[in-house]
Amino acid sequence: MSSADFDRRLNDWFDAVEPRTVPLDLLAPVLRHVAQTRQDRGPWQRFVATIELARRPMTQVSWGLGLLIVTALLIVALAAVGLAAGIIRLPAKTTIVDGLIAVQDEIGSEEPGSYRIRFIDPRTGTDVFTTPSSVRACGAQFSPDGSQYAFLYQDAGSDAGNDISVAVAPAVADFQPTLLMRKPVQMYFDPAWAPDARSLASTMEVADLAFRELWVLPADGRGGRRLTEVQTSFSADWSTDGEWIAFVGVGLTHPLYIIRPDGSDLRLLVPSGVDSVAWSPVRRELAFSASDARLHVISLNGTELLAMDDGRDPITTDLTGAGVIAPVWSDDGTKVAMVVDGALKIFDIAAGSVASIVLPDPISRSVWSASGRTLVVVTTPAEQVSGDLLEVSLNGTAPRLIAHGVRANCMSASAALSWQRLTQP
Amino acid sequence: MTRDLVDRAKQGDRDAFEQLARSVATRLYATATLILRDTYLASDAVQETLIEVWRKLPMLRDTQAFEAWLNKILVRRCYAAARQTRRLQAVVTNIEVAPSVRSDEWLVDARDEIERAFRRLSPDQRAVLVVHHRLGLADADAAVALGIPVGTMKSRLNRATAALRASVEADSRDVAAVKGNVA
Repeated sequence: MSSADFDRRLNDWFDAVEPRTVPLDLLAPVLRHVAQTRQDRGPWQRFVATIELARRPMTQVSWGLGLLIVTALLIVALAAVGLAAGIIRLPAKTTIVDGLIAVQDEIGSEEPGSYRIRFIDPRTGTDVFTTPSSVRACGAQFSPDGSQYAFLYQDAGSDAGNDISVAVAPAVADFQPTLLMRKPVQMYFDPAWAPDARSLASTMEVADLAFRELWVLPADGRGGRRLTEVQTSFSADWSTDGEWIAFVGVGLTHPLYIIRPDGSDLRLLVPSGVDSVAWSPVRRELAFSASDARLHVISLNGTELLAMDDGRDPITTDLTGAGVIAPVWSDDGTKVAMVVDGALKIFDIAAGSVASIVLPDPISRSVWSASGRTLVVVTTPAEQVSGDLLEVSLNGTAPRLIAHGVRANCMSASAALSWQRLTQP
Repeated sequence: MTRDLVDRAKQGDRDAFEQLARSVATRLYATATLILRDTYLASDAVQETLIEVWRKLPMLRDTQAFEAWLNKILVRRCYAAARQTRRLQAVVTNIEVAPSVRSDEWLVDARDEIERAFRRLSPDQRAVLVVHHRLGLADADAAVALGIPVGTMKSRLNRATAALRASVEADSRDVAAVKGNVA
């Protein structure tokens, strides 16, 4: 083939594959960014600005500078006096460590079974305490400070279709729950604690309706309220700074919204294709699993920062699997774990790499340790409802069995595995 | 028209910048898609290009050089996106073995030899081919867009063309051999 023929063939191919239109949402993040930011100043502009400042009367500049220096010195002096007198105390250095693991099992063979929450010491595998047999309880989710847990319960003896309650209780053996809400439906419970542990956000199923609503429930039981009229899917999460709640809408598109905890300032961040969402624990960024079989990380203004394949087949992806592929951030915000088709995928956000951990039985749930070096998972053999609680390490060592006979799900609870965090001086 | 928009956007006029962005978006997206062969990465590269254009526009002294400056930023952003792709492809451990490719699928794939050969090129080879053949830039302008001297651009273009041809011809031979075996 001559060079001219080859060039023509190349240009024909360019013609065939070159896109003629741009994606609809291509410019939206750019224009949002432009609306919120100012242009850089080059060296010349900075030089001109400096000259302008220098041309101002010296007294004006001098007075300003002098006042600034005096104020700074005054603050330093007051701080020194305060420290010396013991009025001001520097915060003590603390360490966040792993506490108990909350997971449920099913006791008794009758239907419906009697669920209980087990609070397990991960080092010994022993139950430190369990919820009492007077209630069917499951779906525990520890508060950020580890002092209490939210969970679902049903009075024992009632039928499965009867009222289900959302409650919180102190994370101690003495069972003293505070009722937050009672509903006559099977509610899928996936609570997100506010960072100050005073409230929970969760999507709630509404009786006789085919959609869910976003609710905020004060942890002291003073009554919850619906946050928005937007119909929601299963996933909601509270930002680490407490200023936003992210949630996924329903309908054909599954958009991603954020809203203020008081119900104001509803914003559409991603128009479609979102499955489950999780805020970064250290930055104003969101990770979400999506119908394109990728893990996406976006900023608060919707700008995409990262998109990584998660290993699913996008053609067969089913968005109805509530919480099945929910992303879970490590505490330091560098990694995200997601269970995809029974395997645990670990996305290293900083390095841009993906690792996959496959165990003999499918993995159903995962939760990070405080160090971010290990995760605890629930594996459930095929055709069975109970499985094992295992600790898996990212360095490839063999998983460690913590406990047998635990369940990944019960009573429609999604957040059915939680690892307590404790603060140590 | 474009120069007027550039001048106004340079002064911080956001409406002018929006018009400017809309007027160049299709061309930028097409170019980035050709270089990266990935629409997601191309979108990222175009968005980052436009954001950089907005930020640095006040520093552009000669508004007549806007097009060349824009191409240079786009190509640089495409290189960055391609580097990101290489990082993302660093799949680490225990990924389940993918099912083997059937020969009939392989034959179907083989029809698009240029697509596959083009993907095998490095990002800078793809960029020089797109800039030269698709954007039709003169050698000097292409060199500016790629951020390299003219001589380097010419030799890179020659190497990229030779590599693409060799790859296409090798694929053609393989397809012929497989067809012979199947028959």
